[in-house]
Amino acid sequence: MEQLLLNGISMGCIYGLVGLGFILIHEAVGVSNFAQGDFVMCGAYLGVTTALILKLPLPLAVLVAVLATGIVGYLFHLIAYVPLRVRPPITVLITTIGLGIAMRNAALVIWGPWPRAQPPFLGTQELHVAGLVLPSQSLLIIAVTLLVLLGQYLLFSGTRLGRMLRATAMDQEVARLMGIPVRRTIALTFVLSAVLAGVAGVMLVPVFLVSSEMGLAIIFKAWVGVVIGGFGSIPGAFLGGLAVGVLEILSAAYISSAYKDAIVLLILMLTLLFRPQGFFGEVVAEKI
Amino acid sequence: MRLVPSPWGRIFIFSLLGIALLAVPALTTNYTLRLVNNAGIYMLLVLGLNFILGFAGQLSFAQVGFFAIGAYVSALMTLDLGVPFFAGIGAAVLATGACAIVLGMPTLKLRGYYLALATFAFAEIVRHVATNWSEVTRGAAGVVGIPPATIGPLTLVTDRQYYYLILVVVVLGYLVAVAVQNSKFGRSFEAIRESEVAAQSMGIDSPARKLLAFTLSGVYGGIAGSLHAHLFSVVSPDEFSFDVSIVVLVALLLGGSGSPLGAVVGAALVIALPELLRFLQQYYQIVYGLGIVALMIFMPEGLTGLGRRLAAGGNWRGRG
Amino acid sequence: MIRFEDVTKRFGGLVAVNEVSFEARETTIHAIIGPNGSGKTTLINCLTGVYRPDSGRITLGAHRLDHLPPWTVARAGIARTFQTIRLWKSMTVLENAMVGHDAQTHSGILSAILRSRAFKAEERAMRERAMEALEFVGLEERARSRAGDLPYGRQRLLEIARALCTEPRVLVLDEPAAGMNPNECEELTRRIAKLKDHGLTVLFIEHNMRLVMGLSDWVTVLDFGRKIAEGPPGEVRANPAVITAYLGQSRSRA
Repeated sequence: MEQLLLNGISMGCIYGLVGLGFILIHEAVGVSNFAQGDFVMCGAYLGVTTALILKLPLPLAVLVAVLATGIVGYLFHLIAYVPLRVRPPITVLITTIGLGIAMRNAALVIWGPWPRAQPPFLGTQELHVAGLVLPSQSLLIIAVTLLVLLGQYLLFSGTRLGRMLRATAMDQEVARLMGIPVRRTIALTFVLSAVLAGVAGVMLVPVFLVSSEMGLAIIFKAWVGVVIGGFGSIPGAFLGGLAVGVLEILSAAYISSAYKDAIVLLILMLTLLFRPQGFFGEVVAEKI
Repeated sequence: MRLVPSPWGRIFIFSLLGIALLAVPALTTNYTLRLVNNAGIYMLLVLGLNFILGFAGQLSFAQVGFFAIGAYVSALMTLDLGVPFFAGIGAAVLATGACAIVLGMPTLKLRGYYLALATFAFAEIVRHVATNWSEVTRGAAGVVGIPPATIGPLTLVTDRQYYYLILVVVVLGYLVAVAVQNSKFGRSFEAIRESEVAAQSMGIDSPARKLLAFTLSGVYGGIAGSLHAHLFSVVSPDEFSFDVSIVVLVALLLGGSGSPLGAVVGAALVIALPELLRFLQQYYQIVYGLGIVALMIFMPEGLTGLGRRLAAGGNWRGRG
Repeated sequence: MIRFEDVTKRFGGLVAVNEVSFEARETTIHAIIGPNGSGKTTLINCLTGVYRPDSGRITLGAHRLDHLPPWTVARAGIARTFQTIRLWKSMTVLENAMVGHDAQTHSGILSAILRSRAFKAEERAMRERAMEALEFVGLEERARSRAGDLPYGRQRLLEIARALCTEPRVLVLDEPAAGMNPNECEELTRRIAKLKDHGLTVLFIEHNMRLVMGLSDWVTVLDFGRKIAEGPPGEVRANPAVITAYLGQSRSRA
């Protein structure tokens, strides 16, 4: 039971990190980034490259992979967002779809069609903690997530850069009037978003089979988390993802493994129908 | 057809077009004919998406879900219940229409990205049910041995025979779309798309109109699904993945969103291009993805939009 | 005829409209004036169903209007124009006006697809009605132009024509004279006066005081969301509270 719960929480952390990256871009530029899951895939493949192919020491491999994913995020924003700055957000949504397809298939060409795998980072499958036998990678994921969240919190509330990011996310126009370099801040938002997804991707390598399609399943669950949390709320996006992770594992265990996806989908539909603003989002009145 | 204003000119062109279309089966190989038939089915899907996205301006990923429902309902009714083809397609229409209404009523009130997500979820749910409700849908293996379409005494078996059926359906679908466009409904859709508040303030019940557009898109998807089931005589869940909705979307954008002609042209291109670009092998998908980005940056109004601008002698900058 | 009773509308902490009560009588031309941000457009949006008031009532005769969706309010006979022009710019001038008449038609989608006789008759009626409205505002020559290509002042007239096609009993105009030169204002005044002769009630928001004084039968003044004065135009103009509100704007609110 504890194992299950821990696995659920750790998957939830993954969904939460991905959802967090998704909502950051959404709040900053009003765009739903359909390729967010493919950033996760990038992180995973880059992690495989640095750790298994280049055989760098593990902490360095992780760092390099995550930073490289951030660079991918920057390039992505140059192609998918910058040329379409003045167009309606729906065009950017479509370019993110297109670029996501290109990224997935580029990965296929670069790394080949066979899924990659890697042993858990801590070397052992399980840890014995407080008399319980717990999966080590899950613990690591949770620990890393907490670190990342702490880092993000410090960044946002403590640094000037963080304040710029928040201001731009809240209202681009006002941020521009306040003298914030909005274009650079948006680029940074994409990079930050990609980094979050990259962390999730690298952490997933021992747990998931790394393939070009892995992003799709993850982004979908992360979205459900964002919807449940509420589109206007950044912490809500993370908590929603966490909830989805736990719900998913519990449904698989206690109801049916085949239908666990259906249950997640059902929860999505119900939330959209009965509480579209999610649990933490705000219903914003449209000003005419 | 502003390019050819004179009525005799128009009759001439349409006659040429008609003869060309009727002659197609004689001029192509069986493989190409199968492609053409598939293109025709996609034309219906894209014409359907055009109602909700092109006309009413609401992004929907539901087309593949309607496609699947139409295919399965037709397949199962003709195979398991032994009903004739037209009853099967009729049931597909009813099923998809009903699904569109049930899905559309609560979700069309929500903001743009919510509808996109909700329709995505709907399509995924449909695929999920198709995969897992094995007692009815035969699960992941799919339904095989779907009886061929029958029109009265005729049984349609060859691609050539299906070509004529699909041709008629596509032409009708196109004419209906144009009729809707040139009516108060078409105008109200465009009004809703450009400023829903203004449309509402002029007395237009926009949720109801959007629901109408959505239902039309669903019905077109259902008919496409039905034809698909009988043409291929096999349906399986993995044919109905999210990628199909993307292809339909790309087809509409490529041809020109808001234009029935664009829908038809886009569908044809989106089926033809993978064949023509076969030499790219595994790089094709990368080119496809980047092509979507390029399309949005350089030609967001699609080919018909570009054509319209050229005909008007206007400027080249994209309007998006 | 239209009665506002203690209508209040809040946006978060800001009270845009604060317990506003007044009545617009039938076949009068009734102006709503006040400094910028006094809640005039918000009040109108509450009337036409774009916003839902947080408290209070709005009635048209015996019918309650608040809490109704905009299309129901429009069908009850209240048509409007917008402060920021909301035309459908890619459609033609004629098409814009025709859409105004949509709610008056009854043929269904099947009739449209099959091009039934009833449908064709309705399309013809829509076109004729739209042309009439365009003639009334002097836009019939530009019927086939793209609405977005019209000059600003003409676009405002098109909005009026479109609103007239809804066959309203009440016409609500939000700053109809904005951006118009004195000649165009004269034309506008004449046309609005003619509407009154046709039995319409006109409720309008304006900053152009000449227009307000020359045209209206009754004026309501708002400031900071509250009604501060009301009466015939001559009285309101001399009202010290009104003068302060406007002068106060140029001094402290600029």
